[in-house]
Amino acid sequence: MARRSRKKQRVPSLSEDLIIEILSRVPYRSLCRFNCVSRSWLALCSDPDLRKKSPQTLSGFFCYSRHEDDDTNLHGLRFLNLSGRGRPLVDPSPPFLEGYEAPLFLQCCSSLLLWKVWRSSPFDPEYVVSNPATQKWILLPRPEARHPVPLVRLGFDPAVPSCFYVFMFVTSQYDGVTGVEIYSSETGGWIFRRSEWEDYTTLIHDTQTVFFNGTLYSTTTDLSLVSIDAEGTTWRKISMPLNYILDLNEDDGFIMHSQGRLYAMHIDFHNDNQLSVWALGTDGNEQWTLEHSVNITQLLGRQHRSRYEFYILIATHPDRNLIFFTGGLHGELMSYDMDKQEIHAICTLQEYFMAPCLPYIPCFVDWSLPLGMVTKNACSFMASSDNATTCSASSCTTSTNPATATSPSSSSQRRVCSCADRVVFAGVSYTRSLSDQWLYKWMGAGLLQELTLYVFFVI
Amino acid sequence: MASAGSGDEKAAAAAMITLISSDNEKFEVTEATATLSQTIRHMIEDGCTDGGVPLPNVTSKILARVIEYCKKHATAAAGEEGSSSSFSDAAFLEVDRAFLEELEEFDDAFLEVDRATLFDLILAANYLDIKGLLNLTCQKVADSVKGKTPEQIREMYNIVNDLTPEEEAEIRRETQWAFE
Repeated sequence: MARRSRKKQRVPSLSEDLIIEILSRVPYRSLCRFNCVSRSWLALCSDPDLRKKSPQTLSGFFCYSRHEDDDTNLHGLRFLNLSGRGRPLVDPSPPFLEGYEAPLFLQCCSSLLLWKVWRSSPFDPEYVVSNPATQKWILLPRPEARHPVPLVRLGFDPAVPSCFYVFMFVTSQYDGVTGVEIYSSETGGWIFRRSEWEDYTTLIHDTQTVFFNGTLYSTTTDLSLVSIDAEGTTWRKISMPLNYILDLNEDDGFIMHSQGRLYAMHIDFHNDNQLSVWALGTDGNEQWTLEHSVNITQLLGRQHRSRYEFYILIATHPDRNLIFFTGGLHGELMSYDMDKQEIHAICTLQEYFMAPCLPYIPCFVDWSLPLGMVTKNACSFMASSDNATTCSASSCTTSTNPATATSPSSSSQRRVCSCADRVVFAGVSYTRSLSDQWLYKWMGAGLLQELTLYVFFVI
Repeated sequence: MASAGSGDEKAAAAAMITLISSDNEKFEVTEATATLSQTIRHMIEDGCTDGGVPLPNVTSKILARVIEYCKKHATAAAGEEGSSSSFSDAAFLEVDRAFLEELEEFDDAFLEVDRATLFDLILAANYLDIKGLLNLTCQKVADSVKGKTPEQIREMYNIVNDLTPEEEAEIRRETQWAFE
C-alpha cells in the first residue's frame, strides 16, 4: 500500500497541453477507446481539435437506405460505421445551397463527397465538393466550355490533404473519352487536356475510381485500366488482369488502393465465389501479379455456392490487408482478413442496399480559409514548424498579422505573391486566387481569426 | 575558455553559459548546446545570462540528462554545417547517414528510462522549449499507450474511473468499432 502511494507521487502530472501533445500522436482508434478511461479523458479524447491532429483511417461507408418513404433525408444517403453499429460518425446530409435544387450525390472519394446541383435547368448542372467531417463545402466554378452530360470524378488523397481535383471527362457521342477538364482546388481553375487514350476508350459510368499519388485510375468498358495524372499530362491504358475469366461483365473490374499500391479484385460467381486479388507493379513496372486467391464459399464452410449466394466487393482497408464485401446468404457487410484468411460478418444490411457502399476516411483539414482571402500562390501554415523546413532555399516573408497579410489593399504583399510561381508545403494549407472569390461560398464565418500564420515565399 | 577580444563568431560559439538546477547545482555548457532551448536562446538574446541561468523547474538529475541530449544534438547540427564543404557530396552523404544512425541509436538509448523520468523530461523539454526533445519524449509515451485498453490505461496511470457503468457502456456502444 505504502509503495503504491509512493509510486503515485513520483510520477509527475502533466498539464492538459502536454497530454494533448502526446495524444495527438496516438491513432484515432486508440483515442476512441480512451474515451471511457475516465471523465477527464472523455473530455480530452473527444476534443475536435485533437481529432483533427490524430492520424485517420477507414471509419465506415456511405450507402443508400432502402426506405423510400424515409423523408428525413430525401436523397437516401446514409453513413454506416465500420463497426456496423452505433450513431453514425458523420452526417451524410447534402450541403444546402440557397437558390439551388437539392443536390444529387455522385461520389465519395476517401474523405470528400461530390454532388451535382441545379439552379434552374436540369441540363445545366453545377458541382459541389463537401467535407462531411467539417461540414464545409465548395461550389465549383464552371469550366469555360460547355460539355454535354460529362462524367465527373473527384480526386482526393488523404495523404496529401492540401488539394483536391475534379475530373470532368468530355465524351464524344459514342461515349469515347475525347478530353478532360481538370479542376484543381489549389489554382481554383479548370484546365482542358485532349485525351491520349486510344479512341473509343469508354469509362464505366458508375464505377469506383481511385485516386492516389496524384493520379486518377478508372476501369473501362473493354476491361482496361486507364489512368491520368492531375496535370493531365500522363495518360495510360493497360489491360486488367481478368481476361481469362469467362462471362465477364463490364463492371467486373473492381480496383482499390491500399498501402501505396493499386489492386484489382474479382469474385468469380461461376466458380463458387473464388476471390482473386492482383497488385499492380510499382516504379514503371506495370504488370499485374496475382497476390491472393481464396474460395469464399469454402471459407464459410460450404462445399458449393447456394443459388442466391453472391458477393459484391466494396473496399479495401487503406492500412491493413483487409477486403470488404457485401452479400452472402444473409445480405451482410463482411470483412476478409487476407493474412489470417478469416471472414467476419460486420452487420446485416437489411436497411441498406448492398451497393454502392463507399469507403470513407475522415479528414479534418481545415479549409475554412474563405476562398479569395489568400492571394494565389500564397499559403498558410496552420500547424507544425516542420513545415518551415520545406521552404529551404527560398526567400521567406513571414507575417503574423493575418489582417495585413490578407488585405487586398496591401499591394506590397500581393507583389510578393504574384511573383511566386510555385508553393512548397508539407502540411495543411489552402490557396485561392482573388479573382475566383465570387464563385465560392463557404459555410462558417469569423474565418479571419482562425488564420494564425502566413508564410509567403518565392522560389 | 572564451578568448576575450576576438569578438567574432568563434568566440560566440565557445562562450559558456551556466545553468543552475532547482537544487542549486551548476552546469557549464557551450552556447551552442544551450541554445537548443528556445527559452535559453531568448534569455541570451536579451543578455540576461550573466551569473548563470536559474532553472527552478528542473532538478539536477533531469537537467544533466537534458544537457546530455542537447550536447549530442548540438554536435549533430554543427557537424552538418561544418562538414559540408570538406567532403565530396557522396562522401558527405555517407558520413551523414552514419551520423544520423548514430543519433537515432543515441535517442533510443536516451529514452530507456522509467516513466517518472520520462515525464520529467517532457516537463523540462516543454519548459525549456526544446522541440526535438519534446517530440521524442511525447512520441515515446504515445507509442506506449496506443493499442492499450481503457483498463490498461487506468492501471498504468493510476486513474480512477469516475464514469458510471451506464455512461461507460454508452460510450463503448458508440465507439464499439475501436474495440474490435
